[in-house]
Amino acid sequence: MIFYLFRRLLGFVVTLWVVITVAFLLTRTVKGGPFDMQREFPPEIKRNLFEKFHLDDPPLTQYVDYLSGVVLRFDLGPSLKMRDYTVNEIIAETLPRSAVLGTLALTIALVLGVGAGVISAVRRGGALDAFIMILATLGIALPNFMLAFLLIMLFTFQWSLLPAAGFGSWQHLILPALALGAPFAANIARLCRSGMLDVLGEDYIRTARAKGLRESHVVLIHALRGALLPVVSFLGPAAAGILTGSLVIEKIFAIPGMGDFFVTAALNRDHTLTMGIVIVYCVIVYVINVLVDLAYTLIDPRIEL
Amino acid sequence: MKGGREMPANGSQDPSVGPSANLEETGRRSSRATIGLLASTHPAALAGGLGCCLVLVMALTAPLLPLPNHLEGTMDEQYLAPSPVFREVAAAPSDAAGAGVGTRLRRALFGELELWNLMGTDGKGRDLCSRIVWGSRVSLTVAIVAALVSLVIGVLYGALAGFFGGLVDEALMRLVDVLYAVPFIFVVIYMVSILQEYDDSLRSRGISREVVLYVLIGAIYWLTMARVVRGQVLSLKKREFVCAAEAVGAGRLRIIVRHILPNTVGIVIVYLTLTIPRIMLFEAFLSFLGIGVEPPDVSWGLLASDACAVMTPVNVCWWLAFFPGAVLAVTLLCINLLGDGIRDLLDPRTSGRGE
Amino acid sequence: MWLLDRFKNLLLVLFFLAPAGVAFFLVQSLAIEGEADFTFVNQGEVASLDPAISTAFSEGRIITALFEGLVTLDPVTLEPRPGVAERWEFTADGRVYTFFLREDARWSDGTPLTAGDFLFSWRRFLAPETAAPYAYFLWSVVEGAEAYSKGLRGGETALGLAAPDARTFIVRLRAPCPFFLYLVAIYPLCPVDRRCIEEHGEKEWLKPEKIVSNGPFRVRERRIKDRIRLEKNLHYWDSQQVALDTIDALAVESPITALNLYLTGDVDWINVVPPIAIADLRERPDFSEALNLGTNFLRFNTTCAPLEKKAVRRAIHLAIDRRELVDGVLKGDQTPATSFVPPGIPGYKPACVAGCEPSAARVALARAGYSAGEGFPELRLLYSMGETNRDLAEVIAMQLRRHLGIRVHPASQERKVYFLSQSTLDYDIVLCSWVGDYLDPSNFLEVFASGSGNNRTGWGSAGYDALLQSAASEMDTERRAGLLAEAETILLEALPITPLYYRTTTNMIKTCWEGYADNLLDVHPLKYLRRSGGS
Repeated sequence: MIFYLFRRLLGFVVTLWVVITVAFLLTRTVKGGPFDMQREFPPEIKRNLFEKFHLDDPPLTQYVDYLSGVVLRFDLGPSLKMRDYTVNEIIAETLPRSAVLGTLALTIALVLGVGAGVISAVRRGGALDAFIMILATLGIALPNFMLAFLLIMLFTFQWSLLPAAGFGSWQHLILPALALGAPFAANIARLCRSGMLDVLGEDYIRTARAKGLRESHVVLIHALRGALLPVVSFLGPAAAGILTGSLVIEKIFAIPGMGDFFVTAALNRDHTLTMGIVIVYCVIVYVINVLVDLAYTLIDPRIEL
Repeated sequence: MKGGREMPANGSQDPSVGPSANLEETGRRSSRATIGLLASTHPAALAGGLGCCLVLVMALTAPLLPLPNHLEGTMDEQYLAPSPVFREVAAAPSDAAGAGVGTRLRRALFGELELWNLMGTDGKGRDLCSRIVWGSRVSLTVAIVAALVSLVIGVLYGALAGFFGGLVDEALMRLVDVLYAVPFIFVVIYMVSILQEYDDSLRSRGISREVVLYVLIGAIYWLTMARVVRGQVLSLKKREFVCAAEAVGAGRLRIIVRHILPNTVGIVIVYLTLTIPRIMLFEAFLSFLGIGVEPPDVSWGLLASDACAVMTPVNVCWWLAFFPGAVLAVTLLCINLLGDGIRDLLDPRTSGRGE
Repeated sequence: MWLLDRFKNLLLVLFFLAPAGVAFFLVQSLAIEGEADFTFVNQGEVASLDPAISTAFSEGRIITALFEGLVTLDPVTLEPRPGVAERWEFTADGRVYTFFLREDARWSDGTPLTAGDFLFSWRRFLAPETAAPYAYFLWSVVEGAEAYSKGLRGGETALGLAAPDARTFIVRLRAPCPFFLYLVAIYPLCPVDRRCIEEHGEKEWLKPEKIVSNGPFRVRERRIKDRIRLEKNLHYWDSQQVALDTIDALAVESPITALNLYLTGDVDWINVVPPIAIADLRERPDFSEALNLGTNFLRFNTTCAPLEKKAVRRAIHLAIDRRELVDGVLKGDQTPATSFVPPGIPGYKPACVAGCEPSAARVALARAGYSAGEGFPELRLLYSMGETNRDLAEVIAMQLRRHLGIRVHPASQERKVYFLSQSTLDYDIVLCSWVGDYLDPSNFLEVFASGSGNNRTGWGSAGYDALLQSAASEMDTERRAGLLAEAETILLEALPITPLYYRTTTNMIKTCWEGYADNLLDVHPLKYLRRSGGS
């Protein structure tokens, strides 16, 4: 276990270094800088700005400075566009909001997906199964922004149940979490169903049934664990997908999280903020993947790390 | 590595689970028998397959259909609700796209008539049905090209890793792990910007910006394909026919190409049918962000995001969202059903149980 | 043992559901508490609360609420009105202005505001270290400003600013400037508290708990990308007038989301309405559309073929149907433009140029050697990413093809790249806009002076520059207006640009609020807002 964690840590360091380097190269290669604006800066003022943010240093110096800042002081630098804040402050404030939304979305995906998958597998071949599977497949057939707008039209304007946008209370999070999580719920439903079907054919399930246990007991206690394996392994990419999907969902629902900032920062050529968000993204995905591996062993003791 | 089972970690269904022991036998079954089997046990999959064929036919015959100009319209005819009527061809397309065999054939079939306003018009007076039909060409091209790119890179990479095993495998797969962690949307946003700089020099060589976009998208999805193929190759490697080939003295390349790769075809096809919908949705995502297909070209993703851009509660142009959304949903549904069917067919454990 | 199994399953369920539970609790603590008296959408996150480096409208709205300069503008007539300065005088030759500050001017922490603060602030605004984007506004106006900004030696002493005592602030100008008072009213020239900056440092003083301001409101809380909560500043000299206790400025970027928020009643005022909804909202009493001091136009790159030929530019100018753009794409009250300087500046009558004449356009194109568009290269029409821009560009391309037979293909660029392409003259035609900062035609016309960094067309004319120079030192308003109109005529004859339409601003504000007035500069000071009918 310790050895496994150590290996993962090493992998993480290497991955992080690669990600920082790629991000640095891309942000410095792309055209347009943070200070290209509608009103042209007189060249002297532009020079001052560049000096202030060390953008006129040779690229290698900038790279080394940035890297050492991140590694030694966890300092992601000042934001080039939001001049009142540092990147650390911005991420510290916006990440929890995105995390809240993402967690809710993932949980909705899990609950809906596993529920639908189990029901569908138990009632296999029936009308309910077909209905649920069609619904699930539709969930991954529409772009999530379309789903978001449809939900707003229905729940905010047709039936005035939920707010249109913003981040104030749990009511504000229902629609965004639903729009964000629905496609993953669909995938999880399919995975859970197929995993469930596999497990239900196994010997130990037949034994359990033969022992006279109730069907619900068999399904929920014995079979579910095995059925969850493909679902759990999907959690890693699901989390990554939710992080990506949050880019548009946060924009549509005006949720002040990290996802929307990411696109804005890229468009504003706010290099430090972009790189900071990329790094955080990388860390999150990596941590979740490790947790998923660990959860895997919890579920299926036969699997070794 | 997760113990005995190699789980594909990128959201695909579990096609690589378990060795497809009957793959060789399946491969040798006649195609007619396969379709027959498919029809009897998986009606949904057959329906899906038919739907896909219909979409393909629609895309291929777009120039022949009596549809209005999808590139230009008149502002007087903005935002009309659907009310279909046959009318004289209003605005001939001024692009070279319309001036070939297709137009002549179409004129022969339909004369100067066109079906106007079957599904409403958009903000520039362009017929939505026509845009959907022409948009299918772009969307399908994106999906197929990107899928093929991911296929080629992924299969080669995975086959190499799986076949050589040991350190080579370890190194190649570690690289995949690292690449997985790079947030690809970030790379795409920046690469699109960077490539725009070289737009002119690329255009002069006949490579449009869209093609580069497709290749870029394909380059994102090869990672999972590589993992899937590697898993499959690893299990195939130990099979008797490979040992037999080695015993006979066949070279490594020959073994890979003649024996192993053909047996990955099943998995690859399944994976392809499951990646294509994801690619199409990704293209819609990019269009929403503004960095996907550029007007006046049209794709389903662009239509979907345009519809959302004008969806306000005071002025609901429902047709702008409904028709592209429905077409997209049905097409992806069909592809998914087809993919499910093929996978069930190839996986020996479920093929006996049926759907 | 089934007991252990059950336990393990429960653990698993909890493991997966626990994060959601935590998230639910967190929402309450992460969101802001309570509601404000007045909420409005401020279109994007404010880049900074520091007046000196501010540029965008969204910043302007907040800064004019937080700070107050020497002079403010009347919300209806846009005339200069006393701000921190209760009166002012200027010498007969218009070269020395003296501002007399009011006695009761205070900072939000109660300390008195003095002329020394203004001296410090204006110096800081011009200082090279601050790198203020609008510093160049003062370069041609205030004595020694340019040298000081460029950090030249002796700059400090030659600067024409002085604060002989706590109540007097003197500015010496290089040349008489008829619109100087309008210039003084711009928000980058608001004062900042020297003691606050010295105590907390340049990096920290802008944090919500530390910032000190002198305007009708002060910062209560600030949540990044969410909202800025303002509260009434009790030390403000005119705080009697201020009716609102708390205001929320939401940082919502998407106009559709903003409209949705307004229609559900969560927000009291939005300042951008998506074009597609305008037709349906126009009749409502809470909708208002007003002329804005801004023009949208196409810039031509006059350094590259074939746009270097005036006839070609003229042909394109005559081929664009501006009425179709306004009615088809924008759907608002915008007016097709016949000049570069928009109408509405008191005392100035803009020059006039012909509108859409397709036959004349074809003649002009033929004269340039490309009759019926033959041999005309394909040009790129750049625009900044955005739906309305895209629609405009597409329709313009359609029109040019229809009327002239030439191919222009629209290409979107991200904002930053779009600006860079213009400064480096790496474009053919580009869709642009210019919005006035203050009520004077020179703000528009100076854009195309040969040395101006904002020119970005490669065009220049000695005659044009000379006219602008003489207008700059002309004190008589009528003569000055005449000189500027002459300059504009030269511009519209040479056509390095072609004006498209005059901008309008669309606002929706709930009818229960009064104190809101439309004006050319789209400034709506929050200090005058109050609920109608008392309450």
